[in-house]
Amino acid sequence: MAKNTAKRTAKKATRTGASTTRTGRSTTRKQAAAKATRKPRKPARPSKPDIGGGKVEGVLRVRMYRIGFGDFFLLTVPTKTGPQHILIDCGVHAGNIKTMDECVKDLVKETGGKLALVIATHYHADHLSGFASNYDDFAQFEVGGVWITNRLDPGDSGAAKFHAQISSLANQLRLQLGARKDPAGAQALDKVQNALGIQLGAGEVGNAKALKLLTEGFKNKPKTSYYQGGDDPELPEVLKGAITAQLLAPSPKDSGGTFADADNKKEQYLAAAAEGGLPDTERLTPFEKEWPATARDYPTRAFQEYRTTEQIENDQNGSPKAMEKVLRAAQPDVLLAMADALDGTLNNQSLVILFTCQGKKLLFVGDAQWGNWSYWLYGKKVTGADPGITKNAKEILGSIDFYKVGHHGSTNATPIPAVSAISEKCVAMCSTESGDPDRKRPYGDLDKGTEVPRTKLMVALEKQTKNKLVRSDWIPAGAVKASPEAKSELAKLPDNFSTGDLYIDYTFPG
Amino acid sequence: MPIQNSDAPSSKAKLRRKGTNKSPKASVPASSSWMELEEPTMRALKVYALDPSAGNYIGNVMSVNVKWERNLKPGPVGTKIAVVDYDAANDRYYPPVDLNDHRILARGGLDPSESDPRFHQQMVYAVASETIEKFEAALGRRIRWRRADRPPGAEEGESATWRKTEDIWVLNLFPHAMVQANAFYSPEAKGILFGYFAAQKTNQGQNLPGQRVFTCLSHDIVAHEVTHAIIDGIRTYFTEPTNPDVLAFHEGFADLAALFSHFSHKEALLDTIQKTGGRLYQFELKPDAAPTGASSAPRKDSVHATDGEVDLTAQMAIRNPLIELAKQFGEASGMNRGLRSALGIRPNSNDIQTRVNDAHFRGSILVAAVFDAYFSVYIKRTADLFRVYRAGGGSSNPEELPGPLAELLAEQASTTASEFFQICARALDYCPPVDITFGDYLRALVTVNLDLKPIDGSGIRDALMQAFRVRGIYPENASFFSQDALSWPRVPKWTHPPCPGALPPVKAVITHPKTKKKAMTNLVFGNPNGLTREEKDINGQILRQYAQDNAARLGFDPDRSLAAEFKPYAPSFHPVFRIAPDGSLRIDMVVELVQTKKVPFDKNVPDAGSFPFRGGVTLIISAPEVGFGLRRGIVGDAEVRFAIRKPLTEGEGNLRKARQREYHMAMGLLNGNTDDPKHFQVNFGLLHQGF
Repeated sequence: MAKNTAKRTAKKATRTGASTTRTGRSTTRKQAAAKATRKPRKPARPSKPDIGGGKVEGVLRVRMYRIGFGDFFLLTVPTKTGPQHILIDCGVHAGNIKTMDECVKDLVKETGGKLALVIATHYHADHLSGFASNYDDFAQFEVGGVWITNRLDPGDSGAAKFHAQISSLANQLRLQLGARKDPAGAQALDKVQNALGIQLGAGEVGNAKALKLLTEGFKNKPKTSYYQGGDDPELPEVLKGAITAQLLAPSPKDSGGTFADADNKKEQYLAAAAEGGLPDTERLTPFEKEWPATARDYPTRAFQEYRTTEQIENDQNGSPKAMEKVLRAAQPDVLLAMADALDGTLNNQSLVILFTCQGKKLLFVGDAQWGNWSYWLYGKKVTGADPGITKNAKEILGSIDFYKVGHHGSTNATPIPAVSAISEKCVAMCSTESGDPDRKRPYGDLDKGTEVPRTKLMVALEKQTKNKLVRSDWIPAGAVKASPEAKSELAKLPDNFSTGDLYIDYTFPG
Repeated sequence: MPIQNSDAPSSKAKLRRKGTNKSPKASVPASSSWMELEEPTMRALKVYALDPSAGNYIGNVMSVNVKWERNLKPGPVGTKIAVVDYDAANDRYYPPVDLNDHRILARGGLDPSESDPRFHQQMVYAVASETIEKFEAALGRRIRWRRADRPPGAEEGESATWRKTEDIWVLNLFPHAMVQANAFYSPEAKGILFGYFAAQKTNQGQNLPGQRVFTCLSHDIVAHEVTHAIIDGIRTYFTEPTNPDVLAFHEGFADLAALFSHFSHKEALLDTIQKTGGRLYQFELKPDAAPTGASSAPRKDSVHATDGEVDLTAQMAIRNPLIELAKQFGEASGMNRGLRSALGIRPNSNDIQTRVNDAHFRGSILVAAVFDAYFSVYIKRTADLFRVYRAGGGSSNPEELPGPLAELLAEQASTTASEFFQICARALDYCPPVDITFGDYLRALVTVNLDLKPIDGSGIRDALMQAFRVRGIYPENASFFSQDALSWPRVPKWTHPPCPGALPPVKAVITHPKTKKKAMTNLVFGNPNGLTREEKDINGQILRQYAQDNAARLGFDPDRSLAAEFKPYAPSFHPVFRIAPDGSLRIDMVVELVQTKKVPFDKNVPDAGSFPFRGGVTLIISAPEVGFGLRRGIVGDAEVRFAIRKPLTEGEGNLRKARQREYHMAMGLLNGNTDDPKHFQVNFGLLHQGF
């Protein structure tokens, strides 16, 4: 009985998959090729068991490795040639718990050195560093295909130029932030280093090395494809018929070759800054002559605005120190703002992928932030009045069975309309690190409500998914213990979850 | 000019102090009353008319007359503004200027100098005072700075402190606060931070490569920032961007104030009129000498296109300084021109729909609309002068206008400019307290003009309406694009039974703060010198009570069980004294009533946080009339003339709520601590990255 239903859903999946490709079809070369390969399969269709039928082997499973603050996901798909593997990102940055080597070893063991597809969602070390640090291991892999966000396409001159600008800006920022000792500066430095992939030691810059592996480093030199939202991606041969993929973001670039909509303004701003160099923050004195003076040269009245409630009540004078402090705090920190903008821009380049397999829908969003989401939630840039999230987006979110929580659980990566549209059948996985041996939290500030993972969001997601949210830091891995917050959670892992030494698995029931 | 007795104020002050100490020397004969000189009313101070980059461009140094503050301390530290020259980037103070020093008084202020911080302080003080005075004259009352939120409930107790730490009583100006190409108003810092920076090494315009550029020496930048602070004092909730127009309005209005002040500068105005042949709206001025060799046909392009044909600096055309903002700043940052222009954007109805995210750009749509109207009226008013000139044999495309004609044109341009500024400033009082849109502002402009000048000879209202219309700015709820449909509806007279939309006279039963007796009390309008604290207490109580008694009629939530902080209250009320068209003194009170609710972003996900959703109404209340004839001596009621609403409830309220929620989400305000009210306020420092 159970098998029958499985068969039926599988059949349905194939059909919906086929229809998706059909509607998305246009007359590009890529698709023409895809069409050609699909053709011989069509007559085979009446003999049902051929595709996705009883012959497929294995189960549909998502494995989340615990590597710290980063993403390392392995999606295993049952096909007629046995289980095939899709690797989605492999990297860690801040909050590195140093389990990457072991995890990659496990990956080799699990996959036998064969990956059907490797996907790099965006250019951040916490999604790429593994490809660089374990370059030699990965170089031994046989890979069916590589998908990368088209913002990194070297063949697109606009993208390439912008990417070069971003990198040069990041480098400048790094030099200036490196000298700073304040915690905010250190966090900003983290963000910039994440963009460059630094911290992996001397030699080649991390992210660039990772990109090199992805584009030319694998043993069998697989084809690299650069995609954006709305593209019809080409699946490697072994996955055809077993799974379909729909690309939702990043938003397509407009015909002019500049970056469209979503974060256009931010990107332009960054580009302008990169071209003109960073604002000058060197010590600049306004006057050539010395003008010695102290606060005492000013009447006390000048400082009355900076009194505390107590001082007002007791009719005391304000102090110049209080004013100086306020003024120092009011200085806008250009460097921090730029580091933030840089971080957001790269996150928004994330490839957002919706897989459909055996009737299950799995959404991997990379680190997409608002600009990226809004493109497919609303179908356009949204500012003023709300047009309501598109029917399509609502349907997608309401129908997904699996959600990879964006950006390690920060609020800006999962908008509230998205959370509330997720149905309760959905399962969510979040790869993050809430406690860090060196610093309390890798990112954000609890007081400002920008902590990552964001407590409120985690709670909201848990509620929405009826407690089917699982975090990577809930299991011990290597020498690192499970996050203290997780202790109670681990004992009652939701159904179909299981744990290994380094990972949490979710096996789809079916 | 008080030059000859420059020493008088300080020595006199000394004498007075001694007098209170009952020193025997107090009665020296020199101070006998018939000999004593009156305090001066004005203080003359020199400033740059534009900014230092204009160099010796005609009339770049101007003298402004600001109100004489008797008790001005070194800084200058006055009663409304205080200049404190603390450089946070270098952690040092610069010595304060003492404007009462006889050596400075005798000169009519320090001479302009980029290398003397004391001149910088003087200029900031002078331009800020000038801006404040212009607003006070237009508004018919003293302005005040931002006051902290005093929601109802907080001040019920007797011991509530009158002054709060978040209030701004004296606005502090920091001429060299930071090393940055930026200047901004910061409520937290209780003042305005002006930055300084090094000009770009390449493409620095009329500056030296890498030279220091001081934002505090730009007349425009100072006026712009002070205007921000003034708006914030009048409409505190306009720093909460609840729709794309709110911040754009802040920016656009601040630019308007800065630009209109150009037209009060006589010399620059005359020069521009001469060089544009009276076409003030032209982008470029004719060069002093015609280009050699090349045809002398007017070129429409910028300096660079003509560079090749020019041999002398006198042959280079310069951009019209009147319609350009912050020239030096723009050039030093490599823009080849001023930062913004009054006519930067060609009229089209597309920009207003598409460019929703850029407050400065959107603000310049507003600026362009108002200046479009201004120039239309200027053209209309001067058309006859040109006709007369041509009739007398003058050329229709004159090389040089005759002096007297230029004088007449300048006078017309300057009167029209101050008239427009007055309308723009007064319209602030006719704006809703929260959630303003450009359409609302257009309605406020039309209403204030109709209310105070019913006969519109030069078609100012029409010019404004047309200029807004071609830029796609339409009011949301108006049924027609005509002046009576656009002006806010008059509140009908209170009758029994009341007709829809009517509001009862403003009075309420309150406990008198002194006598502690409960009684029906009337609003106190006071006199132009202001209200006493007791009178303010009374008014505050009446208005709060009135808002709560009439909540439903005002578009508020009438639920009496709401916690005190969520009930409607009156954040501000100002008696206003203006001259009516018939020359009589017209006394009104402008009142803001506001109610705040906390609305969750998503009802199903309460953990996602909430945002403050405010409704408000601005009341324009007429002072009661004293009856004559049979009702002689009987004081009437304070009647509401206009009630400008942004309702919290019912159809419009729900629509606004949904829109605000989406807007906040689109702006990414879900991130961070949504319980912190500052979270929803603008940070001008980051908004500007410029000014």
